[in-house]
Amino acid sequence: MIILNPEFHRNLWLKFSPFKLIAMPIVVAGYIFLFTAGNHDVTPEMYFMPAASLGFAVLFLFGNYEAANALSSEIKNNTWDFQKMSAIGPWQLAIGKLFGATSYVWYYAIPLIMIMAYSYLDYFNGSTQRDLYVFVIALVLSGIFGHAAALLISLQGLKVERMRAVIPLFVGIIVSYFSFSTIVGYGWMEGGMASAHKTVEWHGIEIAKSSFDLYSLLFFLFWVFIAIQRLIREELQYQNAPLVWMAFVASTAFYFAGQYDGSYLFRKVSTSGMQYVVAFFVCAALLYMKVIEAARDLSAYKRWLNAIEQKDWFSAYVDMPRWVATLCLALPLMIFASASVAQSDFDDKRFSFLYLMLGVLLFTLRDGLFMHGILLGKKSRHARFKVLFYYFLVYFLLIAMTYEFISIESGRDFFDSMTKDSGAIQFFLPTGVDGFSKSCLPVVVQCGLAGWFLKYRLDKLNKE
Amino acid sequence: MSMISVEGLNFEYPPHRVLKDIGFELKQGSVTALVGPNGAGKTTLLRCLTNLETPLSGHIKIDGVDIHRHPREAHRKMGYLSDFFGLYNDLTVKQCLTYMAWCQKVPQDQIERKIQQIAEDVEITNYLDKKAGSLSRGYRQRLGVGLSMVHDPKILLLDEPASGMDPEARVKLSEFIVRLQQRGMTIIVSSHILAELEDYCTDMLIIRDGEIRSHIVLEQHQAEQEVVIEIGINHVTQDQLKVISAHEHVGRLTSEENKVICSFAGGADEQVKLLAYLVEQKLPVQSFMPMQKTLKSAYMDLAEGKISTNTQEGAA
Repeated sequence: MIILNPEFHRNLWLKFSPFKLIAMPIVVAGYIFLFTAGNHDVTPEMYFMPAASLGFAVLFLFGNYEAANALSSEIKNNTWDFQKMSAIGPWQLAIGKLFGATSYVWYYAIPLIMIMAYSYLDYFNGSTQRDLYVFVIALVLSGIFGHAAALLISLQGLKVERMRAVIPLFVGIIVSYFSFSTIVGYGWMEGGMASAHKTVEWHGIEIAKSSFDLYSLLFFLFWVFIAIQRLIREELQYQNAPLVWMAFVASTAFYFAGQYDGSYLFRKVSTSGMQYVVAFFVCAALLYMKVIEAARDLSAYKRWLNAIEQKDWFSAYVDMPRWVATLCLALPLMIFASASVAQSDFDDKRFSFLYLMLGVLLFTLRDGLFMHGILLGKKSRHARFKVLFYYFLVYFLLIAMTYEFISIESGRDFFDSMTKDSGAIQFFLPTGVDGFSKSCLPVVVQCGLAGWFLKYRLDKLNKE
Repeated sequence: MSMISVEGLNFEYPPHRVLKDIGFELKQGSVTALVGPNGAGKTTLLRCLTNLETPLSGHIKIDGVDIHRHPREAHRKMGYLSDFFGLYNDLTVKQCLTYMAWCQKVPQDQIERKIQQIAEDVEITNYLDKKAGSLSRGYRQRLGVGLSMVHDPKILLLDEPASGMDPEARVKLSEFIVRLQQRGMTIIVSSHILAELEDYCTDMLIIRDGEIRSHIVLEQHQAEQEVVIEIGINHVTQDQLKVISAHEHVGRLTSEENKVICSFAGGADEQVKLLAYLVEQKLPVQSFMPMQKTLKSAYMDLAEGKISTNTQEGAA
């Protein structure tokens, strides 16, 4: 039972006091009274707006603030070491922190949600009982999802540097707001949940949009919980095998691939072929994220190489950089996708999916090598600035300068001069057009340069 | 039996190697002073021993348990108080201890008794209902020690435990550590102040620039060293000095008006024989005090190169 969770119980001690217990009914009743005081005939629908405004503020702002601070307060107060040294398990700590830190928020939110539910059908004329259920479930799950996301980001921040609570707070608010709005529809305040009554197709299964969005939220909420637990495991110095990460990559790729129903883009390509391509791009995005993340920790590579050298295969497997594990999924997906596309009627003389996907991997390699060379595993204060400057340079400044240089003579617009005339864009982005020599060779050369740069930096570091 | 065993431990804060090929073994019931200058790697070593930091390479075994393979099992055997520990200031002392007992899976029916015992051990019984935030530095330190040993660990690692304590509290901490040692607990204490480690340490690990320069087992070290004896005699005369220097185990001699200080190569039995010899020679001996080699002198011996590195028993 959650009440027996030490971390949850500690939070109850800290978050609740007799004064705080009494404050909630007074604040809620007072706030609603302010809204309804001028009316002679108070009807249920009048309660909705005050309850909603306070409820959203409490759940999405206060709740995410508490979740974002759950860990940073431990770090700030130097109590984290005691927890890390204790026998408390990662699940207990994850659940205790998430629901303990937000326990007082829920003490406010639950009565406010009940008031909203009571007045919902009167406030939104024509709404159905199902809409009410979806609304309440979406609100509760979006709240939990946002809080969990805020906690996850603050945990992730521990690996990078001592992050302040402000970034997790904003991530939590954004996640809560967008997940709720996606389920109930962005225009729900005006027209109830009419926009959410559409249907969507996922892997050929037709399903009500609001239900699909709810399941999607549950899917991602599940993975956010797993991610929190895995990061806490890491903090508690458990050895984390990469299998769970690979399961996440595979299931996310499967989820997004299912949303391609063949009704848009590349209609000549078979649906399954395009689903492989979508799955590859999801995989590639996560691969890119992990490559860049790994650049901040050279010690992890040393540990891994050390384990391989000592033929400690279990440690080598556990310490495997996650980008290597992701690449193990991305490469077969690339082969499946290109084989599947080749079997369909798609026949474009210039464009090739294989070269596009290969280009994506090569650009990932280029950025990864450069980023490793720039950061060298240092958690310096300037690391974030260096990363931003690199992206500004390679994905904006160099492109803009090249365009300026080319367009002096031709005077044509960006798209024409960079793609049709010169093909210069292939130096900067993966395009998959005009064969290997034009779509991939430029980035292969850049990878060589990036490799040389990394070697130079490593040699310099070793001499220090 | 070796309670803590470290082999080939390396740690780095890229690009700096903070711990370099550290290796040592500590016996059960030993109290080890971890000493070294600022930035030598004392805190990092303790954090690696507790698995709060992941080393680059090396093996650490706590009571036979590999700390990297089985971190929780190893944590159950050890308690750690960091130099900059924090408390939940809005909880009472009792709540802090109860929370830690829950976290450490102390059986529910034993928690109350355990808290009372810990409170008595660290002498905070009168403060159980006070908020942790209201405690003075010394009492916070006591509570910190209490929290780190609520689960009866076999090993206790204390990083600068006496910092900020007043002299009385330091004496009580020393007494407390002696009591823990008598119960068979293995303890590592990191400190700058060698004098405060004097009363209870059995071993000394000297760390400098991330390397263990020496592991000294103090009893053995003292036995191997010359003893300095202070002999109290009123108005020392040249004849009396000749009598003393004539003893076969007496080395260098210095004298002041009312005492003679001599180096003496011999154990306790020889010291008894020297005293008997002095009485037999009718010297008016008022006092006879063999001076113990202090931790400070042992540390300084190393610093001055009088003893070689890693020569003592137990050094890896």
